[in-house]
Amino acid sequence: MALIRDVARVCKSKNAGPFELTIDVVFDDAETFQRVRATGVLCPELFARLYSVKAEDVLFTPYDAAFAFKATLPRLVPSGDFGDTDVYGCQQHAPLLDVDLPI
Amino acid sequence: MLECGATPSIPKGHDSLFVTVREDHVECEPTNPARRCTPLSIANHSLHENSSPIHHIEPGGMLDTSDCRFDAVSDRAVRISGMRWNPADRYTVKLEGVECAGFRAICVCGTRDPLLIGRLDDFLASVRSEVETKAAAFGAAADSYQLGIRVYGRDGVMGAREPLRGALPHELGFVIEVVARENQEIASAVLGVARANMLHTDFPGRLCREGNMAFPFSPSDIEVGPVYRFSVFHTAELDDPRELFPIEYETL
Repeated sequence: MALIRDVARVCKSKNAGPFELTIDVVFDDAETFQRVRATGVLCPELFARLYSVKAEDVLFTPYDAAFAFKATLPRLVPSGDFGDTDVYGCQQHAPLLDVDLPI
Repeated sequence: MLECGATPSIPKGHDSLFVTVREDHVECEPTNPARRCTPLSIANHSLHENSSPIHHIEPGGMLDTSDCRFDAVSDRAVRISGMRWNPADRYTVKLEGVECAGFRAICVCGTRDPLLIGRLDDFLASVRSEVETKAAAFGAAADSYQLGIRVYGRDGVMGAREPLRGALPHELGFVIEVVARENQEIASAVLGVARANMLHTDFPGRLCREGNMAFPFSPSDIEVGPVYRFSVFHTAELDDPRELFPIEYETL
């Protein structure tokens, strides 16, 4: 078992336009990436649960070339609108850090 | 990618990237000899601020990078090949725009009182109710402004998506915020009421009777000015790609 914070090289979030948040988890090499992929833990349902959205609203893309998983989902509030807490969206990754990967 | 300068290189930095565009590939190399591009550093950049790393919607079509190859040309230059361009039926241009949503005033303060921290939600509800009554008394109806009380140390960063609930920190920071639709004067006046009530509103078990909040500054209230919100995020279909971008030539 391994937490994402211990095995990923990058775990980050950012705006993708004013209405969406995009989250990337990147691994060191193809082997780790494929082992993580095989666990099936990183999937639309995981992001749906952690970010309180419907799984069908999560655009989930494993990206082999970068050893990365990307999930894009709606922001709670459009960037900069009243009540937004993170205008650039770059501090929304923390719930992923403690996700356990059975690798 | 060029928009971000040397960001797709390592060590990541804030200077320039030199990109050569050829018929069937692109080559990237940082200008600063202290940096280098690697196939991984370039591949990683396609994740940046895009909803998809493989489908990039651009004016006139979609760039598909799902079969891209990233090959090292040297220890600091990378060749990207294998992109596919899928032309769209219509040429489109993205339009983004904002509208003025009002005027903002803010105030920063904090509490170190465990009795207050222990009943924060009730306390904030009392403050909101006091503000509504007092602001209405000087003519600012509840629908003419928005009051936000951001609680740093609880959910200031993630808001409703914060998964850690019920923690009792030893101190909390607040940003009190008022956005008034009409003008700065109303925002500042309502903020003044909110600040005074954060400071002085009573709560059961209160021992800190001189004040609930520590203010780092005096004066404590800051006028932020006009606030904008996204109101245009559309795709315009153009008959001529140039029609929105007229160029006038003058002979001098």
